[in-house]
This record gives sequence, C-alpha cells and structure tokens, in this order.
Amino acid sequence: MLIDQTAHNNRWRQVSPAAKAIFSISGMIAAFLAATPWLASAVALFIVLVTILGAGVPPRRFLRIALPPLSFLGISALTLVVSFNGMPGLSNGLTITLTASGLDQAAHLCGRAVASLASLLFLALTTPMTEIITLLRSLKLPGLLLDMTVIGYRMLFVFSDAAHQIRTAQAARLGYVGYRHSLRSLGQLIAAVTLQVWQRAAALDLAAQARCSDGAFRFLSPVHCHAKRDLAVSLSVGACLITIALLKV
Amino acid sequence: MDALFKLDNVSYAYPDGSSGLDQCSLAIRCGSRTAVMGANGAGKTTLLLQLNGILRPASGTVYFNGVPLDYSRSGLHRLRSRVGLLFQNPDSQLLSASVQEDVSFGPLNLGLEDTDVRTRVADALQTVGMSEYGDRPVQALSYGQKKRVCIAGLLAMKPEVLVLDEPMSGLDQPMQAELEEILDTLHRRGMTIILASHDSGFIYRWSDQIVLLSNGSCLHSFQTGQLPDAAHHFTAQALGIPAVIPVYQALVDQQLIPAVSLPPRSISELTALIKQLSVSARSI
Repeated sequence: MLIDQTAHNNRWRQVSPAAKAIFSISGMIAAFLAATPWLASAVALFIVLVTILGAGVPPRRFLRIALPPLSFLGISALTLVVSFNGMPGLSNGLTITLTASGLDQAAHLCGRAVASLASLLFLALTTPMTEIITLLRSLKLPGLLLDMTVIGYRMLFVFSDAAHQIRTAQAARLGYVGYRHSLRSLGQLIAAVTLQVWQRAAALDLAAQARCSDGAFRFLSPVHCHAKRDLAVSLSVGACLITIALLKV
Repeated sequence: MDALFKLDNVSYAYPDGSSGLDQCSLAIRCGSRTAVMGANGAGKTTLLLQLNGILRPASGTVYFNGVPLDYSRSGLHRLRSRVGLLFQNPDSQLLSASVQEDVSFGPLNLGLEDTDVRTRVADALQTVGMSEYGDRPVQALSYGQKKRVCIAGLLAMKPEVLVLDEPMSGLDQPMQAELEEILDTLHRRGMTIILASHDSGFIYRWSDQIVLLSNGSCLHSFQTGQLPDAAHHFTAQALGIPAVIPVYQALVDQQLIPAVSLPPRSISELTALIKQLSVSARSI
C-alpha cells in the first residue's frame, strides 16, 4: 500500500511510463553487466539518488520499502561468505570457514542485487500499477493475462478492506484473545473472505454485463504530454548507465 | 400513455428458491422520476435488475418503449446502452483501479472511437463533479466519491434511463444533497430516473411517481402528490411517513395555516410557506 501511495504521489507521476520503464530496465542491464561490485554499487547509488532527488520519494519511505528485500539479501550473502564443514571422525566436528572467494562472490551478488532492486523500486515507486498495465497492453501482451492483472490488482484493495473489516469485527468481540481463539478466528476469517471473494466476483461480472461488456476489458489509456521528450531523455541516460557499467576500472 | 417501461405479470424466483417478484405489473412513464419503495426484501433490486435485462422473468413480460425485451446478445447490448444501472455497492461495480479507465469501460464497449470516448469521460466526470480525480486510484476515494465515479461510468454511455439501486445508502447528509443535485441536473437534461429507496422523506421531496412493492408484488403505484392519501399503505409496509405530512396536516387542522393547493413536500418548503403566510398576515 505504501508503494501504491508513493507511485501515485511523486514528482514524476506525469512522466511517460514507457520512459520510466526504459530507465529501470537499463538500470537492470547495467547491474548485470557491471564488472566490479563497486561499479554495480555506483549504479545502485545513482538510481537511488534519481528516485529520491528526481522523483521526490522521501528517503525515509524509500528505506522502509527497501529494508525487507535488503534483509533477505543480507541473509543469503551470509550463507555465501561463511561455509560450514562437518568432517566426520574429527574431534572438533564442525568448522566454520571464511573464504576469500566466498567474500568475492558475495560482494558481486550484493552489488548486482542492490542495483537491480534499486531499478525495480524506481519503476514501482514512480509508476502506478494501472499505467504499467497500460504499458504492457501497448506492448501487445495477451489480453487475458492483462485482464486478470487488472482485476487482481483492483481486488487486492477490495479484499484487504474486507479482511480488515472482518478482523476488526472479530477483535471487537475478543476473537483474538489467546492462541486458541486466534487460530479459530483466523479460520473463520479465511472462510468469510473466501465467501466474499465468490460473491464479489459474481457482482463484478453482473456490473460488467450491465455496462455492455462482452467479456474483454477495454480501457482508455491516459495521455502523457511529453512522452517523446521523456523517452529520449530516459534512453540516453539509460545508455550512459550501461556504458559506465562496462568501464574496466 | 407513453409508458417507457411496462411490466406485465412479471414473476421471478431466485435459483435458491427465494421469491424475487410475484405477478408484478406496473408502468413507468418516460421522463419521470420514479421511486421504487418497499421494505428490505420486497423485491426492489430484483425489479431494477429486470429493467436492464440482467434478470429475465420466469413468466410475464417486460416492455421497453412498448416492445417486449429482446434477450439475445445484440438485443441486450442495445437495451443496456440505453438503460444505465447503478448497483448499491460501488466496490462491486468498479472494475479498474483508475478512475478514468473505469469510466471509459462502458463507452468503449459501445464501440466508440478513442477521441469520442475521451470527451465523454471528461464530460461525465464533470457532471458528477469529479473532474480533478480523473487519474486518482479508486482505492484512495471515499465511499461517496466511488459512487459518483460509478454514476459517471454510466453517464459516459449516454443512457436515456438511469436505474439506481439505493443511491443514497451509506452517504452522509451533504453527500446526499450533492447526489440529489446531480440527479436533478440529469433529469433536467431529459433523463428518466428510476431509483429504489426506503427513505420516504427524500422520495416525497424528489420523486413524481411512487411504486410500492411488498413481498415481490406491486402493491400500489401512484403520483407522489397523492402520498398523504396513500399513507396507510406506507405504514403497512413499515415505511415511515415523511415528517412534513403530519406536521402540515396538524397546522391545517388547527387552522394555523390555510390549506394550499400544492402541499409542501419537505420541511424547508413548509417553513418557507409558514414564513410567507406570516409575512402576508402581518402586512394586512
């Protein structure tokens, strides 16, 4: 929800989504081509700065959103750096080793992953989901897939709302006091939400029929006034980014 | 008699066996502001769903402009492009998470050109006062705003008839007043408006024809001005009598004010009448 809010309220909301997607993708390409972890980190830093200074995403919020994936990355990097050797027959049994090659590998991985994450977050934080879907539509992705994405995205909010309401109602009647009650309430919550999913799906279908739907979803795509200029800027910056990543430092 | 809709002995039962409509016959005038009233479960929604061809009568016939409804694919397409239907819960009507996209859904289904659709979307959003919300996400809107977006989604299809299921439910007082204004605007533009409600105060003030449903059958259909005489039907259906009726009646009975040819339809009309009468009494 935080990501969605940011995507709708940032300085680059009106910038063409295609331009933002191109920048994001070139960031990812640069992340993979970067020869050294330092270069990859530089790419990541550049994209983060663009997101924060350019698009005006508050740094604190950016950190909050980036923290969960970063902690995952940290854990997986640890497993690369440290290796456990269990030798049967040896008295000390288990040895923990730290190898130079492991460190090197971990640094490479982290650099790449952080740069890719920065690129992805740039797109996610500046472009609303609906515009990304429109973009995919213009790229001629199968309509069925996109219709499902549209409905899935819309339903995300309807159901989180429904689940939240039911949960609040349960909590108000002491449904979550103690472990046993919580488990039981959770079960009822899942049952109730499942039923609601069913009813809502039927209601949406009726509503679509009432508006002359023939099964396919057609929507109007928004107009972006500086699409050409935005595309040119993003293409050139993206190309620079990839060139820098290819530098042999 | 220029009946826009005519129901002739329409019956409908839901698949689970519960009765929706039972031998319901009624007529709705073209250009009217018709209110469908009844207690919960009286069949209001079932009746409205018949008008848009979502439900098909088990027996009996629904006529639109004197012609029985055509339930073929193309027939329904024609009907639904002329009759817009607003559901009670806006969340079950909004398909896209973007306001503009959702409003464009209906007109695009009509097969219109993009440029035409764009102007229709802008006009519709303007009519409901949501112009500056065009590229907002639906989830960031309030309940009342969602309802207005739903109405815009219908207006963009330029229907002749607007059918609204409980449009006022869940709205606070100012939002109800705004919606009433929107409905007035649409009616002035020549749209026939049919809505379900059990708010008798609003109905007495706003409508010109009332259809009273009870247990799926059409109990009574009358001009709104006759409501004081039909009040016993209302109380029998557990519907409240608009407060202005007994107050006005008491004032007339006690000879505090003379009876007027067009009785006031709302408390504000009544207070205006009292003021006007007392001013003219003082000036004598």
